[in-house]
Formats: sequence, C-alpha cells, structure tokens
Amino acid sequence: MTTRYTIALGTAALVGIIIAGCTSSTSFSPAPPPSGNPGPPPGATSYKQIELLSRPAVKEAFEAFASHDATNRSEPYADPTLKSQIKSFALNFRSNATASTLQAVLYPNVMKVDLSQNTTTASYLGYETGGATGSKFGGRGLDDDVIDISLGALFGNTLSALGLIPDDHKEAPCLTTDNVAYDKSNTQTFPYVQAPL
Amino acid sequence: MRLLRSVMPVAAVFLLAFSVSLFSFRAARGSDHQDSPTVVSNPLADVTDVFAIPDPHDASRVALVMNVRPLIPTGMTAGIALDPNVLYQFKIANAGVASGTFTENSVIQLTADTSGTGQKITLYGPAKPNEVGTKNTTVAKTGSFNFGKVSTLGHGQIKVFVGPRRDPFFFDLAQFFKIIPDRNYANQPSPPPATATSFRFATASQPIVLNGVNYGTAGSNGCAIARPHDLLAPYNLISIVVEMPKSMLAPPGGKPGVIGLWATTATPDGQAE
Repeated sequence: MTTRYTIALGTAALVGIIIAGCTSSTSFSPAPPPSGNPGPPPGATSYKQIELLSRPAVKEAFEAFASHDATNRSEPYADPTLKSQIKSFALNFRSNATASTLQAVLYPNVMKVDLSQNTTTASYLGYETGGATGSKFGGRGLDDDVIDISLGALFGNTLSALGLIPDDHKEAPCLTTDNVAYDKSNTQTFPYVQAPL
Repeated sequence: MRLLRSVMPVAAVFLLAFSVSLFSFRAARGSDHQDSPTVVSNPLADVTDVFAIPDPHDASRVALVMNVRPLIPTGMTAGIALDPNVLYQFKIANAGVASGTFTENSVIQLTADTSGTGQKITLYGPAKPNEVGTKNTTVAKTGSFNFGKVSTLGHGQIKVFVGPRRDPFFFDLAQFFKIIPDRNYANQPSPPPATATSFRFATASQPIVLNGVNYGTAGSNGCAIARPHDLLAPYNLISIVVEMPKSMLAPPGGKPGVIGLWATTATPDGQAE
C-alpha cells in the first residue's frame, strides 16, 4: 500500500456514508423499460453479451474460473454466481462479518463514479469509502493501485480501519500487497493512456 | 517460503513472461485478461480493464476507457484493430444508483466496419438503450472516425480514440497464479494446488504497515522474499477512449450525479466469432 491509499480512521460521518452505501448496495429496484426511444430499425443486428467488466479484480479474484462465463453473460446487478462467491471465497480467510461486508461493498459489480464532484482526480472505490482512497469522484484512475486496494480489503485491515466492522484479527500480511508499483507514463492529454511500446 | 525462493527465481519469471508471448498468450490474465474460454478464443472481445477519469484540465468532462486485446508484445501492434463482428459498449446507470437502482439507462456503443487498422469506427450514443439487458441493438449514430486517430464528434463535444496503447494495468500476476492457481486459464480444467501463500517482497526487512497498523516485516511474517515483477509491463493492447461533458451522462432533466459503469462486448450469435 502506498501512502496515497493509507486510509485514515473514519469519522462518524464517513462511517455513516459508507454504511449507507453498503445498505443500498444489497438490493436494486428494476427500472421500467426505456421510454421515449424510437427503438432499433427493422432488421437491426441483435448482439448477445459475451464479456463483462466493471470493477477490476472482483470476478477475477473472488469467483472461480468456471463461473466467469456466466458472469460475463449477465447483468452486473443480476449475476447468478458472483454475489455468493464473493462471500464464500472471503470466508476461506476471514470472519463472517468481514466476508458479508465485502459482499455488500462489491456487489452489484458496477464501478461507481460521482460526476457531481468538481475534481480532476479519480480514485478507485473513492465513492464507496467517502473519499478515503483519495477522491470522492471514485471511478478509476490509470495509476490507481487497484490490486493493493483490493488486497487490503480482503487480506488486510481496511474494512476495520474504515470503521465498518471490528477487526477479526485474521489479516494475512504477506498477501496485502503485490509490491509492484505503477511505472507507466500516462500523458496529460487525451487519450491519456501511454503510447504503445 | 524457502522452498518458494528455490523454485521461483527471478529468471523463471522472465521465462514465464517470454513463454506467454510465444504460446498464444495462454498463461496470463490480469485484471480481466483472458477470463473465460469464450474471450480467450477471441482476444479482440476480451475486455481487460475499465477506467473512469475526469479530464485533468477540465472537471466538467469525463473520459471512459475500455481496454481490449490483451498481451500484444512490445513492437507487435501492427495490424491489430477492433473486431467488426463485436459490439463494444459502455453501459451506464444514472438514475438512483445512490439508492440502489443499477439498471442501465444510457449506453455508448462502438462498432468497426472492417478488420484491420484501416477500419472506420462508428460511435453510437450516449443515448438511452433500445433494450435493457444482455441482448442489444445499436442506438442512433453519433459519428464515425478512423482507427488510431484522435477525433472529435457530436458537434465538437465528444473526443474519441481507438488504437494501440501500453497496458496500464500492473500486477505480479505470476505470483498470484501460484497463490490461486484456479484463476489461470492455462490451468483449466484441473488446477494444481497452490504453491505459494505470499506475494513477493524484495527484502526481508520490508515493513508491512496497513492503515497505520504495524504488522512487522516481510521476514518476521515469513513472506516470500524475491523480486516482485509486473507481468504486464512489456505488453500493449487496444484502448477505446471516449471523453464527453459529464452532462451527457446525467439522468433525463437532471444534473450529473452518481453513475454505475460497466463495459461489455457482444456478438451476433453470442459466440466468440
């Protein structure tokens, strides 16, 4: 973990934001079909989804490889396998409270971005943590250390440091960082991602 | 951990990286590189990462990035472009995400007219989708542009780019696969037992401090002491980047707020093509 992602102990207000976020993440209300849309022209090609990606390293770390194809063909809020596997995988290492909290934070599997924030800095899981990862904008920056953020939640003390749950004292320090840093040079001009090697 | 050090010297890591580039990229998957047999069989439909970043010079604009086609070796990007059989989509929920409603109500879609880097790419949306769900048709066209060129569409408001870039993802993937062998495509369908219980730490004296709590050192915890390595470092991919005013992603009649974002690829028959 770099200092950027060192998460200060949450204030009561911060904890409130996070808990509210977790609660809301546990259910969803299907919206009615789109209205006011003329729809596709007759004979338009209908495409069937074969791949899905939102938050990094959720499907890949928590879900068995054999289930990935089902997740890839699903809506991220109606996934037949991912939600239960987030918890069951985490239970291999952590307490029930920690596993349940991870499940509530990470499912539905969508990347949250707060476009109302007047900032030029993205920060992975920044919305869900009230800005504790660097910015309330959330989203994901090119140099965000998403692996260390994820490992810190799964194997470290991030959830208890945020005040979400008591520490279960089951941290695995050797699994809390992969010790590789971002060494790629993004441009400050569109399209931002570094030119190919 | 001593055993690990003896079987996983740095040289072996380089050999692994080399073998990945030689043997059809079967041995590596990163954030989402090579995550199912379907996308392994068509890497042009394999989404590796999604990013959402504000324009660093203009907080009123947001750029969405979808990376595909993992593990193009250094210097080998020539001729690789989008698959004309694939619909590439950003899907966005923008009404009620903060209160738990995640149904997509805006989409940004791209298709290519032909194979190869001479292709023209069409951008559709952002607009309300024709269908909610995993079967989709294209919405109204916004404009077309050439592969590999930064272009402007939508009355100057939307900037687009599709072309080769360096893979921005970074991860000691080789070690991850030793810790969780199931996640490696090349280990299917019968993954071997784990051969590591630790990521690699460069020195035994490296402190492990998490959120202000001191957990001792790599050595005192019995972590693997070896040189960590970003397996993705020498690889390129194809980036799809769309930047627009945040207001284009606002709910109907509302201001830009909290959105839920994901990326998908789709084909006419739901197969890899």
